[in-house]
Amino acid sequence: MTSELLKIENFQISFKDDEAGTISAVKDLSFHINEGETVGLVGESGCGKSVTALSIMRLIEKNASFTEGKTVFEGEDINLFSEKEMQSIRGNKISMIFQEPMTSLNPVHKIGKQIGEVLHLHGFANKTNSIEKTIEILKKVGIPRAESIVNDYPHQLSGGMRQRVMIAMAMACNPKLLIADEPTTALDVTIQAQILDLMNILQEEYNTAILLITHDLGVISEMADRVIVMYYGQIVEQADVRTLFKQPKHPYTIGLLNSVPNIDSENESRLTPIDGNVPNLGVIKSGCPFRARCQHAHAKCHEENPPLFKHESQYVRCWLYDEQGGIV
Amino acid sequence: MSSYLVKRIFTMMITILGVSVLVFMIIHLIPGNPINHILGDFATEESIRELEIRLGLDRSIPVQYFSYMLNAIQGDLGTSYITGYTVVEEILNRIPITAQLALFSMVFGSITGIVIGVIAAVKKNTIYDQLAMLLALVGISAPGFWIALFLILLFSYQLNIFPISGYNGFYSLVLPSITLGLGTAGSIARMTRSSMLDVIKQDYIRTAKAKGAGVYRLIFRHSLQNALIPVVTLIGMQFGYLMAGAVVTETVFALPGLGSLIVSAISTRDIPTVQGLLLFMAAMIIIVNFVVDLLYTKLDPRIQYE
Repeated sequence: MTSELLKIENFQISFKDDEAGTISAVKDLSFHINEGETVGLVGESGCGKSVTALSIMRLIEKNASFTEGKTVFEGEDINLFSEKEMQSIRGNKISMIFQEPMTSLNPVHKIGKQIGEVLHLHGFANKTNSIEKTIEILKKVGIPRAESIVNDYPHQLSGGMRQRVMIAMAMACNPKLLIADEPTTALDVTIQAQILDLMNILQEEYNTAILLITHDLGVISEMADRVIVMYYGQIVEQADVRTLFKQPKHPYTIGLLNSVPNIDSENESRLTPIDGNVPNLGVIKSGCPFRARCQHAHAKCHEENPPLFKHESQYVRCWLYDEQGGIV
Repeated sequence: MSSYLVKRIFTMMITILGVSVLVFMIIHLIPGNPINHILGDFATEESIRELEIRLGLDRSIPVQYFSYMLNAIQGDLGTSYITGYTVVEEILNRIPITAQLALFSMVFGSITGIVIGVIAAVKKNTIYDQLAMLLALVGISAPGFWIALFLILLFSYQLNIFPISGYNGFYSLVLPSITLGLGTAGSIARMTRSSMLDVIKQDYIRTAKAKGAGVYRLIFRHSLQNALIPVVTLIGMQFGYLMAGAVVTETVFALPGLGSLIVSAISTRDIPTVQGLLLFMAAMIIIVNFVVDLLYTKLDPRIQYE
């Protein structure tokens, strides 16, 4: 029996803009993550994935306002926590790795010090044993010569090594939830595979839940148990990974899958990209935000934004599935 | 590193040589001559001629320059026309005051500037930020003699806390150091602010936040060292302004340092003293900047000299 670790309820995130006023980046977002589960959050740039991740950690920029929503983590709404309480959760129970390993480490501190800091902050090490523990963690993430790497500076390491260091830092306190925001995007393909492997191994060992944010469906198919597809700040489809790849329902998901090359496909058909571009945030006021790029758009799509329909185990936000399922 | 040091020391010597040529030329371009000054208006032709020969001023300028430099390399900067002491003695007598003044004002200016800059950056676009930047602007814009007079009026005349002028231990250096340090503080505050704002936006600060670091740890452990790299360059460059400022400050506060020495030497056309002092100050500025360059490697491990 898996239990629910994190539950996001009705996230509304908006940004204040001097010209356009308030721009809504995420609308009515709800999902959950079970213990030890990997949930993939997919979507094009600007769909609100990273903002969602940052707001779970309450690391969102100051000009963003979080109008509504609950972040229930281990049964408590951490949005109500004080900044101090939040600091004791960050890097400890919930940790995060980022897209850019090249710039995500402090250039003037040694690797050992940067990992030691997170251990120290959360009481996992004291001054005498922090180097020892740091070396242990570095070895665990597959860094060779860990004893000498602790005395290196970030610029002396390659991108892949730096991402390993980031993972070491994120996993140092044995977190319940790891948020990985495009962890492999900046790395080349062979390193990508190694990093994903590493995440899988660590997840099994520590039973850590992973929220994997990416635009790369290949990464999702390899890693995720369940997938959430986001478009224009809202969930358009949610399903377990097999169902999503076998029977995508939302026209956007179908479009995404069609725009990825498939080595198994027998007919060497051309890739079909989704027509048009993601509209700028704040432009679409009513109706389904995907309608302009959708082949199936009809009158109702222009009038009203569809709710999330439940269709068997799948959730889909599209009027095409109106009669088939119940509204969630 | 050692080949870098050799290269740097070599270029430093070339620079000082260039400065010496410039100083020599400028001094001989200044109207007025030391003979008139020493002998007065009623000197006879004969005594003028005699003094010229004694001071070596009868020779051509290039010859004078070479003999001067030959002595300078051996540590002899000549003898003052007026006091009869050697220039080296004069400098050694007066350097403690100027060195203390430079040190105190540097420390005061750097600490105040960095603190104000950090506050302004952390409290960006608030009243604290605006107040801090207004203060910095005043520090940069207000002329030294004005600040000096203002401080004397307030702290010496009205409140009677510090002496008005003259040198009598540490207390007499407090107001001059503040006077001299305010400009430095202003420039450093502005640089620190913009540099901090730049660093705060960096990805590694977000990482530190995600690790659970608190505000103070973010500012002092993670941002400041990165933000100080350009500030240290500025501190090095400020040393030159400090030397120039010392001239005004020491004169206003009647401190017997190098700055007031140079003023009196110029007004009495005491060529050896002026020359020696300018050369000495230029060398100090060059050396300080060299030390600052070496400091970089301590602040930023990415910088390595080869």
